[in-house]
Amino acid sequence: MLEFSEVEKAYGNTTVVHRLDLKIESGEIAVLLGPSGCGKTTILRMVAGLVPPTTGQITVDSLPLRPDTLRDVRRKLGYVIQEGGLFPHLTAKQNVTLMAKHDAWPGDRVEERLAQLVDMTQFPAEGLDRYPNELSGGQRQRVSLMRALFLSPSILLLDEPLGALDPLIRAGLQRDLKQIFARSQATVLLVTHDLVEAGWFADRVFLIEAGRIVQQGALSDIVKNPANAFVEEFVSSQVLTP
Amino acid sequence: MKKLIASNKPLVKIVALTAVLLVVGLTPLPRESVELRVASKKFTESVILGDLLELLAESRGINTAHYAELIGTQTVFKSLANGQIDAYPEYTGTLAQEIFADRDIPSDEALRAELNKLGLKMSAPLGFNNTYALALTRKRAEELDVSRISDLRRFPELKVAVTHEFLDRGDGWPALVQNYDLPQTNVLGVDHDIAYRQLLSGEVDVIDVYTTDAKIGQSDLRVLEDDLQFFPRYDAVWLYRQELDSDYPQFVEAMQQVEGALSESAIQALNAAVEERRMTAAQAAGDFLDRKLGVSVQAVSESWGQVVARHLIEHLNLVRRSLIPAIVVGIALGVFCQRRPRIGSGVLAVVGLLQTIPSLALLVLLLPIVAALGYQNLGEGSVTAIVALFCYCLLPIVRNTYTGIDGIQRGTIESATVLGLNRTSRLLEIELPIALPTILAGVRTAGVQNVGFATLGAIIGAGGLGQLILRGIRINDTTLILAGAVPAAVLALALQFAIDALEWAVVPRGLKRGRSAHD
Repeated sequence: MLEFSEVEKAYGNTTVVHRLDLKIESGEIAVLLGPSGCGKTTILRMVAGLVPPTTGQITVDSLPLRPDTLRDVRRKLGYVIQEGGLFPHLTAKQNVTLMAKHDAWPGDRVEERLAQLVDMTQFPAEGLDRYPNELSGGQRQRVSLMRALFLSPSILLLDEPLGALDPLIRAGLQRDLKQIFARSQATVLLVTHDLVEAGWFADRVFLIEAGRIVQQGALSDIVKNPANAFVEEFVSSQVLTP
Repeated sequence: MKKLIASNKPLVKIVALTAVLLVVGLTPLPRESVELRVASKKFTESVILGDLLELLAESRGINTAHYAELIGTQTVFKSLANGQIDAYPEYTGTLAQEIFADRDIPSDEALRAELNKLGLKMSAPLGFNNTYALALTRKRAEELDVSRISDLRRFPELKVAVTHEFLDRGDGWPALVQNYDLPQTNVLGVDHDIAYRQLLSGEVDVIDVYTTDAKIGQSDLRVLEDDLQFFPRYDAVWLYRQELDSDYPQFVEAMQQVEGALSESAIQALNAAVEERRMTAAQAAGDFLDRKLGVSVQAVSESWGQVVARHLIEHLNLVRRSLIPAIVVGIALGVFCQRRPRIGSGVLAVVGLLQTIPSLALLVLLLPIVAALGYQNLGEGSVTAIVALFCYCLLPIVRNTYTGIDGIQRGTIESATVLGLNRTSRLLEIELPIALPTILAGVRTAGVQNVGFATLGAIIGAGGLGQLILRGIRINDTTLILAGAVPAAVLALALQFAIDALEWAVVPRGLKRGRSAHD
């Protein structure tokens, strides 16, 4: 479960996230949708503890996010970004198992979990000993997912995970991702600017404009009954794109 | 517990690696214990006299080191005054004009009194006076029948060539003309070697010389008597520390044997033996002791290979003791600069500034500091040379560590952070390894530069291949210069190759250039 209570983020006089009250239930797949610069990524980064909120409280599985709880909160998180954020000096396998090694997992337990994830993410096993620069973009994102999922996080944060991929690879990974979400049983918070992608994944879509949630719910409701002119324009611009 | 070790493994590794590097980098080589230290300045005559001192001491069973060819009278004198060396050859005129220039020194007795205040003693003159003089070819001198400078008044048409320095100095040619009322107007300023050539070819009639020049005897010149005693006396003497009288009386006694025994013609012959006949200074000095004083000494004779190998080892030692500590400190500073950009930019500026100080100036500036701290200044293993080289190594390593870490993609660092790596683990397991190729490039630059700069250590007697180059320049011997320069170049290439090999071995495939994704 992920809860925002009166969360605001301002840089000087510029407020980028306005008074956000939001509760995402365990196992729910929530998508933050909006044009670039609307504040959706900032919301995600606040959950990851990379950006401190100016005011308000974020709670992860009833654990309030504070400097002293940051370490514990992060252990509940999996984090995937657009370019994967893989460590270039480590092989795919080393990337994925880094934290398990830190936690001194026994070798067979590491191998067992790795095998589960290779199966779950449809990653080709022979790629495990390759370095990130020897993998394709889609494979890199699968490695990034395996790394994020390795310690079985309760919350999975994804920032435009398909953004840097070409259309065919993107379609394949998009399909697989939905299954991965289902199998991992994690609460998912995904950021995207793509309406179709949001609709494909989301239990609930949060449409954001200039740091405010302007509409939420199932995508079909949003498309049918846009709450204001912005939503109507955002929706129609993407639907009509040839 | 197991978990604690597992998560701290990289920290344990880096601490161990740092410790090993520091031990390897800082440990001095074991050296023969030296009882007595003598020195010389960087011209042939001084080196011969320095070798003479060394041989005299060795002949009395005292283990002695000779720091040859040091730069600057001030450097050598101060080293004597603060006890870094025990004795060296000097000239009375130099002491009066240069060291005690601010005091009135009317006589050698006054000079002795000043030296005593510093705990130093001066021997009786060794027998020759190395000062300026005017000379003609013997043939021309006989034609004109001149033997004294005042005789030149009779020949206003004579052509004169003098060194630029002599022509410009207030106490040089202009004062000489006034003092002797000389009528010559055809006066050129030329280089010393060219003046000799012009004199021998008859283009000019009179040149200035140093009274102990090897060429005077060889070219059969007549040196004119300074009948009005215009030129100050530059009598060669031994300078030594007072405590030698009680600590090494046998050495003081040996030094006294030379007093009055080295005539101008004798020192000219020794200079000629080294500069023209390619004897080593030690051989020339040994010959003199044997023939003139009946002191039989064994000058060490080494083959070319041994000489080059010895200097190569000294050189490697300089590089090792400066480069390896600079790697440790440079990387630490680079990390600090990246973490604290505001103070860091100041640190980078200071390190960059160090690089711009001319090496000669840096060495001379460091000398008093290192001496004040009580470390060895001169000679092999000189802390001054090592510190100077260390300073020059810093910039490329600090800058490359900084840029290597600072250039890592933000997403990579943030992924590490959100995964739960703490600052130390992130640095040791993610940032430093990713920056490694850049850091190694900095180490390579520093190392290759260092091998070159280390040749300069020779000017403060730190040894190394520069010693051969310096000696080659002094006696104009190209073979000797190459014997220093070629191994130095090979060493630089070898070091570069070694770091390339290290890079190949330790940098993972994922960080190597020329590979890209195939999607």
